[in-house]
This record gives sequence, C-alpha cells and structure tokens, in this order.
Amino acid sequence: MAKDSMLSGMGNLSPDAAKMSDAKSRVSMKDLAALLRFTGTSKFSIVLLILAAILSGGLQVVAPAFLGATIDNMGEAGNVDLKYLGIRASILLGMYLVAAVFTWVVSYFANVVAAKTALEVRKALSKKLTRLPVSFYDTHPQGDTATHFINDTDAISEGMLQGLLNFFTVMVTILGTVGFMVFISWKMTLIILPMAFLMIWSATTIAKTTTKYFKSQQNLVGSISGDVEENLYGRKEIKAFGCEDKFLDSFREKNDRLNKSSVTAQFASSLPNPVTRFVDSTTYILIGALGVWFGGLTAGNITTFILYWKNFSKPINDLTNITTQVMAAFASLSRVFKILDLPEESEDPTTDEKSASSEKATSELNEKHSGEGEVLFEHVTFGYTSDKKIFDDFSLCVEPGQKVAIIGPTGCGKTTLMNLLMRFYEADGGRILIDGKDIREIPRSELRRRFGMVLQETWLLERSIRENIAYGRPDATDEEVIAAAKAARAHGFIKRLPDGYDTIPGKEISLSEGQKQLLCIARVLLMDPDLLILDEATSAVDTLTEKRIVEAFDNMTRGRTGFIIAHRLSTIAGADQVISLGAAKTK
Amino acid sequence: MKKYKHILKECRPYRLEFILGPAAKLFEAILELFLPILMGKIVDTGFSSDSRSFIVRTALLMFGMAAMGLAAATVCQYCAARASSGVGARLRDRLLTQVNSLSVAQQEKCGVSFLNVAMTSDVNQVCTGVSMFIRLVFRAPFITLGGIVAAIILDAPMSVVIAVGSTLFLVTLLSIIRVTFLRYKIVQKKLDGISGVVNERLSGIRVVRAFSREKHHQDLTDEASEAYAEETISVARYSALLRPITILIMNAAVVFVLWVGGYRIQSNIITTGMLLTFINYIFSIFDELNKLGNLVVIFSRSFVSAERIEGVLEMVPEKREPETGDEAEDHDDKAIVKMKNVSFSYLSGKEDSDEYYAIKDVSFELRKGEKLGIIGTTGSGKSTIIALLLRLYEIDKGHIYVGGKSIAALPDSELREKMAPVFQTTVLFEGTIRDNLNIGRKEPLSEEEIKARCEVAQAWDFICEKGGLDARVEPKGKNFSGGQRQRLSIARALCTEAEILLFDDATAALDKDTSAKFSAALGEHVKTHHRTVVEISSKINEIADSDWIIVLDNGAVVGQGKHDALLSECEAYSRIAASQEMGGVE
Repeated sequence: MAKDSMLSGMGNLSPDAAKMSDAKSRVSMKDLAALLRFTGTSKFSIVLLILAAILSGGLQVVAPAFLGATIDNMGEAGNVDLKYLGIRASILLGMYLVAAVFTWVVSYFANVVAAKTALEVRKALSKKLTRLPVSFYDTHPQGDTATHFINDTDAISEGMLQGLLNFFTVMVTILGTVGFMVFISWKMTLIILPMAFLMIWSATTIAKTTTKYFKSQQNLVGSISGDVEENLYGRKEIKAFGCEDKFLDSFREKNDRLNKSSVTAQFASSLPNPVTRFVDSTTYILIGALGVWFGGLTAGNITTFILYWKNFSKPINDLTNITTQVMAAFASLSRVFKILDLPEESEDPTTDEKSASSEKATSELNEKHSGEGEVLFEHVTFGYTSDKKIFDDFSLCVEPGQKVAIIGPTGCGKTTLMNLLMRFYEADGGRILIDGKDIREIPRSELRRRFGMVLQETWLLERSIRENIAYGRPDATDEEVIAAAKAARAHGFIKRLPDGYDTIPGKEISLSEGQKQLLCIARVLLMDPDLLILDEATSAVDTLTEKRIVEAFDNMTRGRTGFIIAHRLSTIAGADQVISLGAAKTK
Repeated sequence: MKKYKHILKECRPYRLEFILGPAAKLFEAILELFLPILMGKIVDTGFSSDSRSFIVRTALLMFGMAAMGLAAATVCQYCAARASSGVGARLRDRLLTQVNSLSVAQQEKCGVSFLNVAMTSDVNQVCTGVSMFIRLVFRAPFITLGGIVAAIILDAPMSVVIAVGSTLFLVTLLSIIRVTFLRYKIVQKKLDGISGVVNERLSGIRVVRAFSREKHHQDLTDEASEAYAEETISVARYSALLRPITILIMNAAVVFVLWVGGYRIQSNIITTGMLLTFINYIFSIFDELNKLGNLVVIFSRSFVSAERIEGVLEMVPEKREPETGDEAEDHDDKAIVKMKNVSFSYLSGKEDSDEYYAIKDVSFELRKGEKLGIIGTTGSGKSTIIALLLRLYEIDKGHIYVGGKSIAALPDSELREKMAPVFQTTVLFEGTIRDNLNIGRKEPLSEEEIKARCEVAQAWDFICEKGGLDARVEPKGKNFSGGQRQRLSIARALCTEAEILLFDDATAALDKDTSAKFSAALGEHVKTHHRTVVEISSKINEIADSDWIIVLDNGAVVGQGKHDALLSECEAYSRIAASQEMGGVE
C-alpha cells in the first residue's frame, strides 16, 4: 500500500532484517480473538472485504489463463480472427476493471477497519487510564504508557492493515494459481514451485545474515548518538573545561568503526533485491526454454505461466516486510492487553447511594465552613509493598479548622499520608474518617472534591490562565476566577502578562516556578474546599517567593482544616499540630 | 545544486563509487532488456528436433546474462554501501566539528534538539538518499526508456502503446503519491495531537484525580483519537486508489498490446513470440516505475534533511576579534576579576527595551584569594554572571577583565584555563570517574592529589563505595544520586589548576551537614591553593563570610558590600535574610 511502502522499508539504518529481530513475538490466537472485540461496527466491512478479496484473487487467477487462451486461439499470421480478438480483449478489460474495483474495496476497507479498530483500542485504553489506580502511574513510567497508547496501537493498526490487505487475496491467488497450473501443465508446476521455495529461502537467509551485521552496526549507532547527545547536553562544560578535542577524538574513532561496519551491513541488506531478481530471471528462462522443450506449451501457455509466476513472486517479495509488521503487531497487541487486563480501582458505593450522597455534597457546598473537616486516622496500616510498612498502627485526630504540619526525612511517608487521604491508595488496615464517615464509603469524586491539593510539581495545562484556574470548575464566572487569583496573590502578576488571563503559560511566556505555584493555589481556592493539603509546595522556589506562597496559603487555610507537608521549617510556622514522622519501618 | 554544496563536497571522495555503481546498474539493465527478446525467439522457433540445440544455446546464453547481471548488480550495491556509509561518516564528522566551533549562544539559537536531529537522523536520511541514488535512480529510467527504444526497434506502433501506458502510469502514480504524502503530514500532526493530550493527562494524574476531571481528559483523548482515525480514513480514500489504478493501467496496457498485436500479427509484421516480448517489457517497465514512485518519497525526505544539514554547516562561527586599545587592559592590576558596567541580554538585537536585559550595569571587582558572594531571587541574573565570565556569551555593554586583561583580548582557551565552574545543573560524561575528574587537565592529576581534592568536595567516600576512580559513570551520570553528581562536579572543578573557582548554587542538592563540611574544607583548600572564589547561592549563611557580596534583583545590583553592612543597609538583602531566619533553613 502507498502508506506503508512509502514509510517503511528502505530505511538506511533500520532495515526489515533488523526490525524482524526486535519483533520477538508469537502469534497468539487469544489476543487475536480479543482484538476482534474491537472491530465492533466494522464487522460488515470485514465481511465485504473478504468477499472482495476472494473475488479479486479469483480474477487474478482466471485472467492470465484467459489471456493465454486468447493468444493461442486468435489464429496464425494472416489468419487472425480479429472479431474474436476484439471480444476477448473487451472481456479481459472488463475482468481487469472489475478486479480493480474489488482491489479498491479491499484496500479502502482494510484502511477503514484498521483505523477504526485502532480508535476502539485507544478508546478502551483511554477509559482504562481513567479507572486504573494511581499506583499504576507511580510504577509505570509515563513514556511507556504513552508508547502503548501511540506506537503500540499504531503497530496493531498497521499489522491489521497488512494482514487484511494481503492475507485473503494471497491465499486465494496462490491456491487458485497452483490449481490452474497443475491443470495446464503439471510438469511446469513441478518446476515453478521449487523456484518459489528457492526464492523464499534465499530472501530469508540473506535477511538472517543481515540481522547479525545490523546488530553490531546498531550498537555503534547508539554509541555515536550518545556521544552526540552528550556533546550537546554538556556543551557548557565542554567549552568551560576546554575539552572539545578529547571528545572529538573519541567520536572520530567510533565514527570510523561505524563507517566500516555500516558498509558491510548495508551491502548485505541490499543483496536480496538482485538475488531475487536473478531467481526471477532464471525461472523466467526455465518457463520459456523448458516449456518449449517439453513441447506441451504454446505461446499462450507460456504467457499464462509467466503471469502466474508473478502471482507467486510478488507476495514472496513482500513477505519479509509483511511478516515483520504482523509480528510487531502481535507484540504490541499483547502489551496493550496487558494494560487492559490490569485490575482497576475498586467500585465506588452503589449508584443509589452515590446520587444521594452527591445531593448531600451539593447541599454541603452551599453551607460552607460550618465547622466541618474533622479527620481521624484510626490504627492505619499501610505499605507500598508488603514487606515495608510506611504506617503501622498510625492514629491521628485533627479537629475542624486545625492546621497540621507534617515533617520528617525523605521516604518517611509524608506524601503517603496525602495518598491515603485522597484515596489514591487504600489503607491496608485501620480506617480513616472524615466528619465521622469512613472515606471508603464516600464516592471518590465527592471525597476528592472536599480536598484542595497543592503539590511540589506544578502542573498546568497548555491553555489560558483562566482555563487553568477554572480547571476544577469549568463553569466558574470570570469574577470568581479573578477573586480566586486575588486570594492566591496571583492577580498582580497575571494582570501584567501580555494577554492577562488569556495568556497561555508555557507557550507564549514562561512563568517562574513560584508564579506557577500561585496559579495552582488559585485553582484550589476556586474549588472552595473544606480541607487542604499542601505537599512540599514551596521546596522548588526561593525563600522570598516562598513567603508569598505561605501568605496565600495562610489566607486559604483560614477556617479550613489544613495539612502541610514540608521539609523547610519556615513553611510550617504557626501550625496547630506538628507531626514528625520517622523513617519507614522495615519488617 | 549550489544549495547542497557542503554535502556534495563530502560526496566527492566517492567519485568512483558514484560513477561505477550506476554504470554497473546500467549494464545489468541492458542485459535484462535482452531477455524478453531472446525469449520471444525461443517461443517463435517452437520445439522440433532441429531447434533443440538452438533452445539450449539460447537458454544458456540467457542464464549467463542473468548471472552477469547479478554480478554487476552486486558491484553496484557494494559501491552504494561504501559511498553512503562514507558520506555519512564524513558528514557526521563535519557536523560535530562545526557544532563545537559554534558559540553556546549560537548552539542555543539553533536549538539543541535540532542539532541533535541534524547530526543523527538527518545524516541517516541523506545516506539513504545517496544509496538509493546509486542503486535506483538510473535503473528505472533506463529500463523504461530502453524498453521503449527496444520496442520501437521491434515495431514502432506497438511501442506507442507501451509509451502511452508508461506515461499514464507514471503520472497517475506520482499524483496519488503526492496527494497522500501531503495529507500524511496532517495525519502525523493529528498523531502528535494524541501524544500531547495523553502526556498531559499522564503527567498530571494526581491533580486530574484530585479535581475529579478524569472524564474531561478521557473525552479530550477520545476526541484526539477520533480526529486521527478520521484523518487516516480520509487519506485512505486516496491511498487506496493507488494499487487498483496502477494495476489496472498495467493490465490494460497488456490487453491493448494484445489487441493491437493481433492486427500486427495479422499483417505479418510481428510474431507471436514478439508479442510475448512486448508483454514482458510492460511488466519490467511498470515494475521499475513503481519503485521510482517510492523513490520520490525517499528523496523528498532526503532533501529536507539535506537542507537542514546545509543550514548547520552554513553557519559562520562567531569570530572573536581580540580587543585592542585602551580598554584591552586594566591598569589596576590588583583585581583578578573585574566587571565594569556590564549589561547583557539573551535576546541581543532587542536592545531597545531595557526589560530584556538579563543583567544590567553590573560592576564589581575581586582580588586574588578573595571570595565574592552573589545572592538574589530566581531569575535575578546570578547564573548569567558566571556564563559571562566564561565568555559563553558576548556582553552587550561594559568590560570584563580577568587577570588585568579584557576577556575580549584573551583567546578562549587561555581565559577558560583560568576558571573552573560548577554549574547549577550538573553534567557528567560517560566514562570513568577519573576521566570526568581529569577533563579540564592536559596532564592527569596524581592519585593522591585527586584523593585530596575529592575529600574537599566530600566525594571520596562514595567514590570508594562505587569502586574507586575507575568506576563507570553512565551517560548523564545517572548511576549517581543528585547530591553525588553535584559533589563530583565540585571535585571536577577542584581538580583543575584554575585560579578562579565559580560555584553556581553548587550545594543545592547537598544536605546541611555535608554542605557545612564542604564549606569548611573549601576554605582551607582555597587558602593553600591561593584560589579566588565566586559563589552564587540562595542561602545567606553560605555567602555571609564573603569578602564582597552582590545582591541582584531583576538583573540589577540593588546592594553590595559585606554581610553586616548589607543587613542594615540593603532592604532586599535583609528581606532575604529575614525569610531564611524565620526558622533557619532545613
């Protein structure tokens, strides 16, 4: 197909041979069956595609025989039946036209089905991402998850496309061709079939040898890319310490080796073309010479056989490319299903309760600061892994409106406290109560809405400041957004930005860490939460900015229960309770 | 062609390959064109006892030609591999040398990732172009034209059918490829769109959950996925045409050859065997044209890459004319480092606006063995001062003197030999710890000296734990913790013989104890080695003992003097002090 032939293969440093060795996967029928679930609405298209593929494959078998028969039957020189020829030629044209239409149906619907399936897989993944517990995100690097979403899904789609495009047509063509060949001349069939195997054998043998060379080349390429990256990454150091030449020497030595190894690798990888062409020519000669030699074959028969040989050699030539893509697709498929099969967050309380409690939540929202916000930790036990307890029988009572500071060395569980309160993680033992209610009985969204959280890492969307502040309440009015910004001490600098509240941070202008943090505080203030969590929110800013953030925070905590996690003592001055956590206990 | 002069220059050493390769391919193509003619002869002769030896001879001749073709093609492939690998290696070398000769400002203006792409994937793309050029560029047109010429010789009217068919085929092929290729760029953008929303969603998972906005992000992701799927399908509307239409044109050409051929056979101008020859030409020609279509796409990519590479090679490294005249020397020889009314903007050219200045009208002087402290909030221009002292950037106004000479009058190497920096973000290089420590030296330092200096940097203990000076440092030093990396980069600076040490928030990643031990050890070291120190810090207690302190705010000096004086006189300084004394730092 246009798309893949344009974009794959021929790549200088990643030929099919090298790719093939990466796709270490087995065809799993279970995964394939599971994939069918995602074809949903496309089932009709698939049936249509298979029918069209069978018909177009069939025509590819019939047309050469028809062509050959025409050559033989139109008559000798001076005696050609032009009328017969005209009719036969028109029929042949018609056949090719119909075959083209069928081929188009196969091509188009293969693309559609592949794209729609990819879409369904992505939607399923997207839904899954919503339901996976936070622990998944903490243990899986962001890049990996994004890769599953983007590249693996694309690989699935690409493999499906190749499979749908080729599998049915090739099956029908090859089976049909063999049948017709035997019918016309079994002797010739005995010559052509071994040549087909010879072609497959030579192509795969060369590919295997090439893989070996490409592996050693690939290592050098990686090493050189590393050098290049280092040279750029450490550009200031290299200049400051005047060691440009040292770097150049080591680079040159590797570059030299790469050059040598690349000649071998590229030469080997470019051999399949001429070799298959040679096998192709040899077969062609054999068809002609032996066909005539055995005496059984007419000019028409020879034409038919040459066309049949093309029916064979084309898919064989594409074979490596297609299998590579299909294998890669299976590997991707199993990675994607691994994610889709992961356990999800436990269900929230049943719908009845939910609607009732969300009504309650709305009424709660109306009667703010009614002195609520009592938090109780009762004999809480928790560890990220079973052998290392972060909390062991931890109890804490926070009265409404109190400000609690949590301090302690790295790894002592300060952030864990927040993870448990927000139900990012569930406690292993004991329970946590908010206003007398076990947090496991409150739907997550409602529970989380009651908390306002500011983290060390500022996370803003690449959208306007207004949208960022209104992130939790997209329906907030401009006045409410501005009021929140003012309370967060952010209004001043926002006003001075080129587009004010419409400025897009990160794109048009880069904000300082402190400014970003103030925006995060404004975002929380707009939610008007009952309880607040400030997790190391000032550790990335200088002390003057910190003071401003603390002021904004003080402003915010007035009348609300607040948890402040910090390692700087200055941040936690004025707390009602200070909890000092020790290092994690190992069992 | 002038546009690609640097790349062409690197191709020149491979002149032989560029000529021999295509020549060998041409030879193969000529042999290939003879095969259908000989085949036609065999078919026309037919089988009889007389024709036996003719058939055997012809078949052997054909086989010999195919074998010679294979040999010629092998020669060509080898030439292509040699030329493309060689050109790649030469280009990488040229690019790296060029990039190193650019100033840091120029490198940053280009964009570091841009340079990285130019040196890696762009070079590869050009290599592919070179290889394809040698292997295929001449083959396709030659087979096409050769086939048509051979057909003309055999029978002119039949060749018209082939010529018309080929032209129609090529035009259709190229226009479909063109459309899909252009639309494919849109598809790529939509894919980037998915990547954007997914990454945003993943990076902020806690905030997303805290605000219960999962559904919102799920919707955004689904929208992006849908837009991508839609665009893919809309491209398929064109790309799906390619295979059926091109095959149809080819088959139609065969039918027309048959049809017209029937008339020519009737008139006894051609034989049935020749008809076969024509049909075979159609197959070979259309096969080559198909490859040519793919080639167009590969080449258009290679050209884009080539332009980027040319762009980098075209850049002129900043010429640094040594300054002469009155300002070249500072006659106050007691000062080892001196800044006089220095202003600098990262956006030079926009000088009209004072707002863009990173530092503005900064003056200070420092004598040998003294310590200068620089303090200020983030973004106040502290780090810029160090970069300017090292002349990583050119100042816009004022003068900087080091050792009594204007830095503009000193060669870069001489200037940088006098100074050793510890930057805010530490960069270690792949290799051994020893390599990293000796990086600024011509002669490696003795074992004992390295140990002594690493002890000052509080790095010796963990170096021993890692297995000594010959322990590996992985790329970017990722097998060391942030604090360890910082201590190694301090040790690296101490291991030079530089008179002036520049510290940019060099203890930010160290805990209070370690950083206190280091301060004490550094004091000793500086005294015995007679070194001058410029230290940037955000912590007042680290610079309080300086001989001179500069307080920066928004690039301007808002106070300078000694600690005690500044406390009472400089408001900004006392405010910072107050904010840090609230409960002590840490």
